[in-house]
Amino acid sequence: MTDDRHININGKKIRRVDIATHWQLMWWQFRKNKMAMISAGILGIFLIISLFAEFIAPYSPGTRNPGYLAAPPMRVHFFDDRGKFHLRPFIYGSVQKRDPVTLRLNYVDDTSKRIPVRVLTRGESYKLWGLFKSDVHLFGVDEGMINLFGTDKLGRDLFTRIMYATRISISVGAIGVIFAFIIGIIMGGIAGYFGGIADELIMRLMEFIRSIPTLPLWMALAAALPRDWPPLRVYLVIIVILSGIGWTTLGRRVRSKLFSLREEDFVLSARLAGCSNARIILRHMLPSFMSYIIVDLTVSFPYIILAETSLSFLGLGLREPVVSWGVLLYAAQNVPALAQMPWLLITGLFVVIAILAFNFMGDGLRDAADPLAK
Amino acid sequence: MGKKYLLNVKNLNISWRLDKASVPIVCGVDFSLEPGKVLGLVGESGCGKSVTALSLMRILPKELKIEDGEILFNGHNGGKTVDIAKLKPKGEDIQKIRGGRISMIFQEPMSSFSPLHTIGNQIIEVIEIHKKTARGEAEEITINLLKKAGIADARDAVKRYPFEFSGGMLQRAMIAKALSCNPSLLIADEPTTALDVTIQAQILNLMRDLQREFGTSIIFISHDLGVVGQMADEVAIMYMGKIVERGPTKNIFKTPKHPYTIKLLDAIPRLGNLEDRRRLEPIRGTVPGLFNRPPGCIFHDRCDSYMSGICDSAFPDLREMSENHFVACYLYEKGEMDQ
Amino acid sequence: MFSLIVRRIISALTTLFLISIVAFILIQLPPGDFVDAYASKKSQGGVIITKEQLDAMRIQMGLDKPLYQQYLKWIGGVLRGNLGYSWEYHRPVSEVIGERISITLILAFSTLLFTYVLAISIGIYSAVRQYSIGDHIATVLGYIGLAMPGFLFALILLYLGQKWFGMSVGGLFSPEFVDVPWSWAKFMDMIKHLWVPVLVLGMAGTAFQLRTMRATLLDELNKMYVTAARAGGVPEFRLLMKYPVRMAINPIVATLGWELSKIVSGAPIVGLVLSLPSTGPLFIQALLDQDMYLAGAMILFYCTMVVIGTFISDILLMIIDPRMRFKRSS
Repeated sequence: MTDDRHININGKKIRRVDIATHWQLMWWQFRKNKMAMISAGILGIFLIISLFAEFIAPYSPGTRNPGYLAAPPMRVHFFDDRGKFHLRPFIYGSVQKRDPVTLRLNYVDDTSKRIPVRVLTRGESYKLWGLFKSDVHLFGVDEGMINLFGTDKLGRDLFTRIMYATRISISVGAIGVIFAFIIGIIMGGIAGYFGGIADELIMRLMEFIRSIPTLPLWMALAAALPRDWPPLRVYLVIIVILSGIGWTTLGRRVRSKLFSLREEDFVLSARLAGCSNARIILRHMLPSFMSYIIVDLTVSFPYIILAETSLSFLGLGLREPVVSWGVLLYAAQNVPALAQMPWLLITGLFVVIAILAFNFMGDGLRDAADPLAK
Repeated sequence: MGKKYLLNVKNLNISWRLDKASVPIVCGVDFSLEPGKVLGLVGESGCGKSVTALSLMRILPKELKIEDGEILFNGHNGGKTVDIAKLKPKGEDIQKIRGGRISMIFQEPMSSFSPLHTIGNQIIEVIEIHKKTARGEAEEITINLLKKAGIADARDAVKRYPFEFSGGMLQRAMIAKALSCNPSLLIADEPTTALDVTIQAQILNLMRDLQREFGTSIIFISHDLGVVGQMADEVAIMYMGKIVERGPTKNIFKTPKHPYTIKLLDAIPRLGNLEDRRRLEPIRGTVPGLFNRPPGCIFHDRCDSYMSGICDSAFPDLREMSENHFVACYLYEKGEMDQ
Repeated sequence: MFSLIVRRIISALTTLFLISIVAFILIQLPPGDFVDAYASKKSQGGVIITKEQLDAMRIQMGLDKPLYQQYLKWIGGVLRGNLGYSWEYHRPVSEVIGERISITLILAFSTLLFTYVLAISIGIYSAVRQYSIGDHIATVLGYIGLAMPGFLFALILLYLGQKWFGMSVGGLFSPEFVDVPWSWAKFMDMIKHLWVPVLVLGMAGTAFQLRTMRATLLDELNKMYVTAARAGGVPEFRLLMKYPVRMAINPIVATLGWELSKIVSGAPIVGLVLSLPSTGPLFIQALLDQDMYLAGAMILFYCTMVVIGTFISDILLMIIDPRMRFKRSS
């Protein structure tokens, strides 16, 4: 037996498993799942991108590169065309050439012009979180623009736009999940704690919502929003619509757990001690199944993100100038656009990676939620 | 040995294959069974008796492997002996033996029938496979069997589903299923443990009656020495994957040799004990885990007659004390040495 | 069993009634009514309509009556097969969606079939050969299938089709069949084109059901009744199919209605991307134009499909699982 499994208390050797808290056990179990740990790391990166989009992106989402429209991703080089190594990575300047056959504009590297990529450089000024004024960006170039993921039809930097879109899409997911959580706790709480007619009605409501195909309903609700609303209001209302339909999973979980806990002695003793109903639910019952709620929250994330992406992709959800993953993909809706600018699908890669990460993390958390089960 | 054996198990070794290690579950078990006799296999839960039983039909879970040993079975009408341990577990040969020559009654009747098929369907299937009879005929045989097993409205019962039966009824149906093809050997793995006490006696009586009628040999597995005493001609006591004592039932009950057997017998409540207010003697300690097998005699750390330096050196051999009565214990080897 | 079926029918009808209310509310939801939208569109085109004309239009359409009367009028029409009028197409809604509904139905049920055949067969393979290379590949594909939105998969297929074959994988008919009446040749042509939308629509569902199938079957394989049947000498393949697979199919059949709901949910968006002649693109256009009778009828259609699917799944479950038949009724 190695010694990190034991701990010394007053000279006695005690197995750490025996005195660990529920959360510690969960963490130990979660740590063992490699995919879940990697996913947690990836989601951490997404979180950092969402928080510091202005800093990580070299430009602002509306900035255009007029000399580089609908152009492919630029490649960052360490070796120049003669094979010489440069410690500072660089990009080549580019020149427009018209394809003699298709008459389409193409961009060709101008190998005579090396533009070094600078880290922590000054560029467009911005206000981080609307508070701190700065003009330092993670990376940039002194001359022209760097477009790591290429540009769209208007010459806007896709990398920049994806960073900002990540913020919007992740925040839609986060706020949506919080809303769904609140509705779920209230509805599930009422149903599970009081039972009777309230339970019957709420159960029927949940069953009804679950029996309707969600996306058409979301679409219809979103389509009913007036077109002249300001972006922020659309953003909030879209979140409300998504969580207003998506709360049922959580509601069911809360209800069934409350049902089974209602008869427990500790609830009875809290009631005898004169606690109010709200206090019993929130302080005594909820903490005992918090780990399951966290699993459900993690698993609902991708649903809300996917729903937002789908709605915006159809032009029914968020709209320019707000950029979300769905708004970006809206530009890639037809075959000609795709054929001309396949790099627009990079946005899709972010969507898939985010959802994969949430799913893997959900799996890891689910296994960890019952740390003593195995 | 001139005797004709139905089953002769030699040096059977079964282990649990893990990713990195393999844990011994059954270690060098030997026993044999004559036609028409009942052998009781007794031990605490986890001692390997069920695993031994499953291995006789090669229906072990896939993590468990027969590492070594022979299972010589002589139950074919032609009289040819097969080594079951050498057969392919998914091959045709073993499938003919299963349910046809050897059959088994399981511990939990409730979970041993598929809930989606009628009782009749599941018994008829076995008859159709082994006897190649037509469906109608197989159904008649089934109804007769169920009647013999004490199910009153047998004609109706074949059309019913397991969840419409009680546990005792299902166990009767399972006995009918097991006997449907006149097997030479019946393995009963704790057939009464999951049942009410009153039902237990009925099932035991039923098994004894049918055993006489069909002349089937039985391996009767139980943790309950009392039940085994009623059923068996011969008893083998298992502890942690080894047989520590085996012999005729009378000898085992009257002159138990191994300290573990003695302790087991002391732990059975008896009317006599109650009258003179003697306390039941529990066995000291618990069975060690699979991963910490004690060296030497596996029972030494719970044994009152533990002899340091001898008992923890190596496992003692089984030696014959009186006719057909074998025990594996140094206490009796020492006696011999003294002489 | 009979009373159970009656109970299911009643609950399905109740759901449909509630859905009709929701659909009607959705129709009413956009601010202003159709007449306002019509007027603003006309005024953009330079035509000015007087207030009297607008009011006359409202009275003619019954828009001046209280809401519940409008609902009753609408639902009464729906029950008689009159789904209302599409202002955008100047035709009754039923005419506009007519043929597209059959295409959507073909699409949805082919997808359902594809999903279940694939999920069940791969699920069996994965569970029986647990941790084999094939199982690992199925697991990885399953994860990706769950994480990739259908429309994104469709976009990728479109792009690859364009790049490798120089053709569009969208649409459901070859050009020569688009505007001709139904014939055997046209039907066969559709079958040839059907696999792309079916693949796209069925991917997520297949991935999900595959996981369920594999997990349940792995559970069932270790159950006592399987060992007991094996002890009866049942050959391995017959054993697998008759007992654990039958059990493992139950939860999959139970989610049939829900699966159909997922397919119906994904269909409009995939239909749009792949430019299918299904109801999807029409529905999205109706929503964008706020042509609400058309949109409402379509929502009603989608929901009805799901309700019927759920009903069928309940009945199927009663047929294959005797425990369901005896529940409550006995």
